Amino acid sequence: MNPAMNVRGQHEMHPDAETLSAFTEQALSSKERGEVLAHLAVCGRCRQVVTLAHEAAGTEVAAPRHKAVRRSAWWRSWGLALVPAAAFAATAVIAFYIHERAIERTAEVAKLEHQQTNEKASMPPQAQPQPETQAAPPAPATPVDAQAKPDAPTKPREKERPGETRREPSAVPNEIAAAPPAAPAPEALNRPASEREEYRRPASAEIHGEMADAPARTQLLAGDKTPSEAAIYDEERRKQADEAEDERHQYAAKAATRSSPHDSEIDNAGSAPAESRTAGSSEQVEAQQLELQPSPDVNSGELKSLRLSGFSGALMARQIHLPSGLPALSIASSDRRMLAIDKNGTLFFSDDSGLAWEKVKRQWTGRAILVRRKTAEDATPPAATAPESAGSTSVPDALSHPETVFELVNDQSELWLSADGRIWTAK
Amino acid sequence: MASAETVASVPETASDTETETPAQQGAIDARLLDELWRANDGPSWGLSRDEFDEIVADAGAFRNFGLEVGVSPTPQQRADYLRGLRLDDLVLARACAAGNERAWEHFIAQHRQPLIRAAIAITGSETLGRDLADQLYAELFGLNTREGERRCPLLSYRGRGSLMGWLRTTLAQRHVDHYRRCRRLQPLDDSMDEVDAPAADAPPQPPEAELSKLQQAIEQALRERDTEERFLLAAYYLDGRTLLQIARVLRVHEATVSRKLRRATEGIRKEVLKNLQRNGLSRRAAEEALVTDPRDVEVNLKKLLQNSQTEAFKEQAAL
Repeated sequence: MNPAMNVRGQHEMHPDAETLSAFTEQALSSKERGEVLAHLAVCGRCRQVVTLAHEAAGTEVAAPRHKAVRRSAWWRSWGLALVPAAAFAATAVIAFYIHERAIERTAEVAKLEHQQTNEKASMPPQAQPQPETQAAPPAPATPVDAQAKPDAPTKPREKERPGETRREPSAVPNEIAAAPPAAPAPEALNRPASEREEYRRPASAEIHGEMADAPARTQLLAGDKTPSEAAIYDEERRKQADEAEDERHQYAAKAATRSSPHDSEIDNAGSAPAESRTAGSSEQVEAQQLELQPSPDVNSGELKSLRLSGFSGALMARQIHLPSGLPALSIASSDRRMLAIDKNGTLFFSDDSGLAWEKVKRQWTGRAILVRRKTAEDATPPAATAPESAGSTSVPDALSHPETVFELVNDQSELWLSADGRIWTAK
Repeated sequence: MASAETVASVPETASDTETETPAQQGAIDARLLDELWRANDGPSWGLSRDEFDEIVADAGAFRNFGLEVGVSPTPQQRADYLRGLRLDDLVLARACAAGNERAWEHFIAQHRQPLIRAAIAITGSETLGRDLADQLYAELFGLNTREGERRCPLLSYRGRGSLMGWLRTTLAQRHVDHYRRCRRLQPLDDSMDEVDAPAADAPPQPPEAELSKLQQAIEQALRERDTEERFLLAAYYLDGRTLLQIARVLRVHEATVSRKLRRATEGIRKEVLKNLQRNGLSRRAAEEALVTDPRDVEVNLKKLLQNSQTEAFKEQAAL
């Protein structure tokens, strides 16, 4: 007898509960399933049992399924809203980041401006601009020439920061302090201009060492007992300062458009020994650093203005003191003429390389945000921006090109042109 | 009364198991038993390894590892069958039958409430459902004795399908048997006392010989239907199940059941026409015979579809 069949009567046999249950749960082999199905086809009782058991299982399964749906309903209902919420959150994070960056930048500019103001307050009024002859090609300096020129402009500079000068000797080794006056300086003055250029601009690896030696050298030379050598040294320092100032004006635009690593170089170079330098040596080193930076591609005739940003902007802001007291947003220069836009959009003009500024009457609409220099020969700009090859003497000539015009851009991207920087016409 | 029915529904397997188990147990590979012992990640409820091996061997031998009686299973067939068993439920059922208290606690926590819900769903009444569930629960606990021995229906569970499925099917069996037994004792409804209205004038009846041929053709066509089609016809036309209910039992889509039913009826119609033509009727006469009033045809479809047991069960029963 088939053990799976229950004896219910003499003529009635049915599959047992386990077989019917396994049939319902698809747990039988195909052969067993066929046998059970054949029995179900002729047995109403077993069909009823299977149907009832299956319906009971369906209700049992439906209850937990209902609970599961109810449990996950809270987040499923938010499923579609999660996407815009995530997008909004991402936008908020980005906006916050940008805002923080802007605040940091503003704080940095304000800090540098404050520092600049402090320096300005501690410094006496700057000397009057050098006469035009200073921009002339420097002839090979001789001790005689140096003696013939007055050394008055140099003496106040030494008196400007007596404290700094007093601080320096302590850092100078005794051997150096006791050494005789440095002979190389007069010798260097007798060299050709190109050789002296190299002397003033050491290799980049020697910059910091040169900066460290500069105060000591200043002290040594200042303490020279030979009047002729002291005069030569003063003359040399004055020339170097003048040349550095000219070069600073000419290459300010380059420095402002440098990339951030260059800014960091300047930052690193300018932060440590700034207070331990004399005025002359600091300007010299600063000019050397500016010259050591890779020159921008000026031959393309592109923008020759700069926008203040980061430390480069602060560097320029330290050189340019606008009457409004605000930092300059954009600067353009041609020869000794300079134009600058401050943060309020006010345009200032200077015809003495930024020593004296005058406000330009507003002749444009909107807010000026950019000023730049354009020449009619943008395709072949003058070679004045390559001082290393042409020397500082060719700069003024090239920049004073008669076709030079300035271009002003307002916040609506409209252009105004001016040939002299004072009278503007819409383009 | 219910207890007698319960006893009758429990297979008398004790003697069979006792005689078959040692031989079958020796046939099962020890490595397979090790594998099954390790694979049973549930608690063992205090059963030893030897007891576990004996339970597994009994479960396999009782159904001859899913093969027909007399066929010797191969080791692979044994392994496939035993791996398909619900060993965790089987061990729990045997532990409960042995009176393990922790196993009973687990059984109650796991199956008590589902058992009541299933009984309520089966009976359609909470009162009847709770009564049915309590009655089965008492039997499972072993309150019934037979010949002085405590009998537990859980011993008839051998891991084929889930334990909960077995419990539900057992409940359904009890309920159906009770209903079928009590139905004969129920009084007739008052509505049944009403006299049926006289039928309208019937169309002219076909000749007696033609009706006889029609009956033979229908009986022959129904017999030639395969098992699944007969099940579908019985469930749909005799039991009045819906397509969805049938589909759930067979685990197929509702549309599949509908398609198979349509195919079965069309096949029966064609087969009846063929049989009529084979019996000497013309095509036109055969088609006219199909529109005969069913009340004039003495064909008991219930008897035809449920003509005793199937061949397979007949053969097995004869053994």
